[in-house]
Amino acid sequence: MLNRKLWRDIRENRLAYFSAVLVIAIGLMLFVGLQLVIQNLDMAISTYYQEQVLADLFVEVQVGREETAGRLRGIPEVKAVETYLQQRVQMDTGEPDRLGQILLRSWEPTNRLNRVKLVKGRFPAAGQAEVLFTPFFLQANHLEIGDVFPVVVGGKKETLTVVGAFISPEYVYEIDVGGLAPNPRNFGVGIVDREKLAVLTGHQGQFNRLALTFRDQGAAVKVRTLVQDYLADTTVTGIYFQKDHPSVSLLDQELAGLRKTATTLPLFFLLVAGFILYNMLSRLVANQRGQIGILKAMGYPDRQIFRHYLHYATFTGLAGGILGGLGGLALAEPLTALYTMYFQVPGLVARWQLWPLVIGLLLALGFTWTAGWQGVRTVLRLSPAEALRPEPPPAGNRLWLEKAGFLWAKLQTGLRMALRNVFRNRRRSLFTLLGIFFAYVLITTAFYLQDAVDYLLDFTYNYEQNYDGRVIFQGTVDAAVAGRFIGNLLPVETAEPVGEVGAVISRGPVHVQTGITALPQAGRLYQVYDEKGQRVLPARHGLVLSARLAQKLGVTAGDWVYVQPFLAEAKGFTLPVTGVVAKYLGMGAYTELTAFGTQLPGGKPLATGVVFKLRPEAEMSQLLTAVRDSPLVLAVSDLREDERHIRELMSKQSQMMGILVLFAFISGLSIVYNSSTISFYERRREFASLRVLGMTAKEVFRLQVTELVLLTVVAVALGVPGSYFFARLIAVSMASDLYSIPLFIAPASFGLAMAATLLFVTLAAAGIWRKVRDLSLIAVLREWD
Amino acid sequence: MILSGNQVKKWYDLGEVRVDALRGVDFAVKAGEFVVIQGYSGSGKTTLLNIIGGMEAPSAGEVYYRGQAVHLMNERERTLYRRQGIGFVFQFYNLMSNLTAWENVQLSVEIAPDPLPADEVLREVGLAGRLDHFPSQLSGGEQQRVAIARALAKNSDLLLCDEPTGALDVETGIQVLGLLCRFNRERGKTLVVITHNPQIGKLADRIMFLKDGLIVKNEVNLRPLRPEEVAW
Repeated sequence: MLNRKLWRDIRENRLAYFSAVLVIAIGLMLFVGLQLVIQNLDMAISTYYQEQVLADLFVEVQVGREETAGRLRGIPEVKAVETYLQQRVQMDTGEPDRLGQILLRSWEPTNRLNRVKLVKGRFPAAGQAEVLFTPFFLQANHLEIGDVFPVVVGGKKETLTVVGAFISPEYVYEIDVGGLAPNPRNFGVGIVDREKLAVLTGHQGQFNRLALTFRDQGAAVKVRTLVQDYLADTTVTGIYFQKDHPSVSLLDQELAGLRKTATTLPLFFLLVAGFILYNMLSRLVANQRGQIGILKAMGYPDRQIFRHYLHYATFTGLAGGILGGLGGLALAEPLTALYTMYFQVPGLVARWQLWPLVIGLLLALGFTWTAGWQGVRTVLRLSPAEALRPEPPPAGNRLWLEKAGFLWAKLQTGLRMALRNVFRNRRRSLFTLLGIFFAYVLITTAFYLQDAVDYLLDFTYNYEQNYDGRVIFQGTVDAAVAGRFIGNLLPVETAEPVGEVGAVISRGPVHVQTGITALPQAGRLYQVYDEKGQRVLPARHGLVLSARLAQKLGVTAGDWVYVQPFLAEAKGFTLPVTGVVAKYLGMGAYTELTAFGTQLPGGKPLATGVVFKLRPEAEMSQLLTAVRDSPLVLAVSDLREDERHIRELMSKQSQMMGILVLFAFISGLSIVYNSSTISFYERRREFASLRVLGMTAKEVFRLQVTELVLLTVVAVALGVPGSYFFARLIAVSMASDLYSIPLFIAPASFGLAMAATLLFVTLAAAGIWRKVRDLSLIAVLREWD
Repeated sequence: MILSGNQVKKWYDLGEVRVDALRGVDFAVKAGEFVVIQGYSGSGKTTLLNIIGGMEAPSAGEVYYRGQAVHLMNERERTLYRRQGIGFVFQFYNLMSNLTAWENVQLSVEIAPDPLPADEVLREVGLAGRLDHFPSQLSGGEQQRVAIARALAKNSDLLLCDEPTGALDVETGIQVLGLLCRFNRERGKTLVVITHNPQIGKLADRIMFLKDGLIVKNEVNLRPLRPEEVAW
């Protein structure tokens, strides 16, 4: 019989239950959907690494001889060693508006490690000038099998014939070192027969890259040390484990970020749902105090009554859980598809699994039961006699505001009543206040994610890197020469040399492999800023670290760090940290170009590139024409095109943000609607009495709306610092080596969130108006509970 | 004796103030007896009924039902006591607003050890044609008859009624009392009714007068009237 009561109660309050179910469903949909995507990515990637035998250790050297590799094979803990050649070459497509680069990698049919996977065509024939590109690259450059692709290798023009398409576990995300998003018009990886590449680069019998697998993963550090010892006569320009491989670490961080999102975001929605449920159930139970009293008087044990009320929570949890679970299964497919746009992984398809659904359901039930239990337990503690007595009216003392007589006297009667109601029913007011607060914060936070991305791109491309493009040299060039060479070109207004060196920076036992960017101290085109937006000059004898790097090393300004550059014959040295700066894309260290040069072999400032700003009337193509045939120049990157490209990629992300804003809006509406409906239900007898006394429906409505408006004003005012608090939580939890999220919420976002809040407060008020208008005085005053 | 009490006291601590609702009440009720507890508002009638019915525990004193020490029962035992031994009827009916008449009675049937069928009891109280009506579709008298049916359906020996006619007009009140008396006389159920209305006492075997938490008079009615004989 109690079950019938349950269904009828739910039916009577169907909108309130529906809104709670909806918010739970949203939370779980995100949870299940994101967990499935993580699962799909995890599975596809680990299978891919295993099948293609991704190496455990990678070493990059200037030039190595095959005998050295033979010695490495003698290390007992080493299972396999393979050597490769790689060479950066200039694209020579003849198009006037681009001068990109290709990283050519050697391939042999005998390769057992880091195997490339052929997805179309055939492998390059021995000794032939043939090449494989990735499907993304072929598509972006409108290339087909049989087409030719001209390149410049060491100043010599060569033509490579495209014979197929490949993917590789080393290039799941096809970006250049320091790159952010794939830009296949400017960078690509080409697979060429090893013999042919050796001939092209003059490296016969040599290698400049090697990879190893371990017999025992526990011996990783020992093997690395041994490898370094064996390669003592060779210049090592980079040595890293699989986890530090740029592609691997990028994917790991992407997955780690996704894991955090998959936990925090749904948790946030579930907390809101829990809040709604707690509010709803506790007040529902409070409203049924008399009914509980009679059940107790009849001899129903507490356990049974408790179970009955818990069924409300079970129903909501199950309904929300099932709806959200199915929604999550549906969401997994488009989300996985989104990743196939960036990642070249075979077998990355949406697979359905039961466990996220089961965990999701348990989570939903856990949340709703806790809320239900919290709601029921206070009433159950009462004796039946107490429960049958009506709740004592709230204390009617004077408000503190009333003591300020002058001010109080100025207020209208309606406002005074509303104020008294707000303060005398503190719990109810607090729930409504918190409801509006959560709704507001939820919407601002959803907007914040978009604001942060915009801010990050603006900061990076307009403040930090205030140039039009960068000329990248083949190797290093004397900085003064480089600056003059580019600066004197006709289309260039300003040019500044930049030196970029890979290095390991250490502090005690912490070692971080990163890049050091050496900038001229008086430079205007590439500047770094601290968190407050103040410019920080690169130190002459010291390092300025990005906040993320400083945090990883555990250092602040004034500490000293040890620097080991990856440069031929470069010795390590110590430098003080002179400042910490904001850097939202990637992490790294900055120093002054001239002084840094003196620390390096040769003692002269070296540049790996030049950043430049074009004259207002000049075109990028004019500059490209001017440098295209220079033996010094490898490629030119167009910063504005990079920016456009990354913004285009981000715009796809912003569709996700849009969905998030929609979810936030639905949750907000649910909270406010729910809260005000229950408020109305609690006070319907009071309203009926006022109507009997002679107040019009409009006057009664105004009374409740005044309260709602008062609470909305306070909630929105508190929502501003609240939004910053949640934004900070997100920024801290999402920060990775790839990007840090700035703490920036645009004023417009606060405005939009306020407009949205006002909209659903108005919708809720409209619902109340309908109820006040249709209030049956007789029925309400006859009801007993 | 089906029910007895010895120096039953009940006080409520309301912060710094202590309110004495019962100040030492002695009583005894025989099986099948119809007892009216009469008193003004605030005399402690409802508190006494609540203690007898195991709805709350006394602060001091002893209460026995068929030899069981009600005052020593814990919460769980009191629940069992209410479930098996007591039928309650309240002034404001206290029906579940979203259950029909039959369903409200069925609530009792489902938990009692030896219940009577819900439709049979409803027929007996004259509501055979109202089984599927919700409380809001019933008159006050009909609602109170549902509440009585709900108490009777448990088939328990003791029926406790708190101002059962307090919210009813005279005519309906007579019908309801007639119903209660019938069950007392014909089925031998013990009936304890609390009221402030002196006329109801004329129907009972005994009237206990309660004032300021004490029984001030215990009057045996040698010739109980029938409800229709009472001048209301």
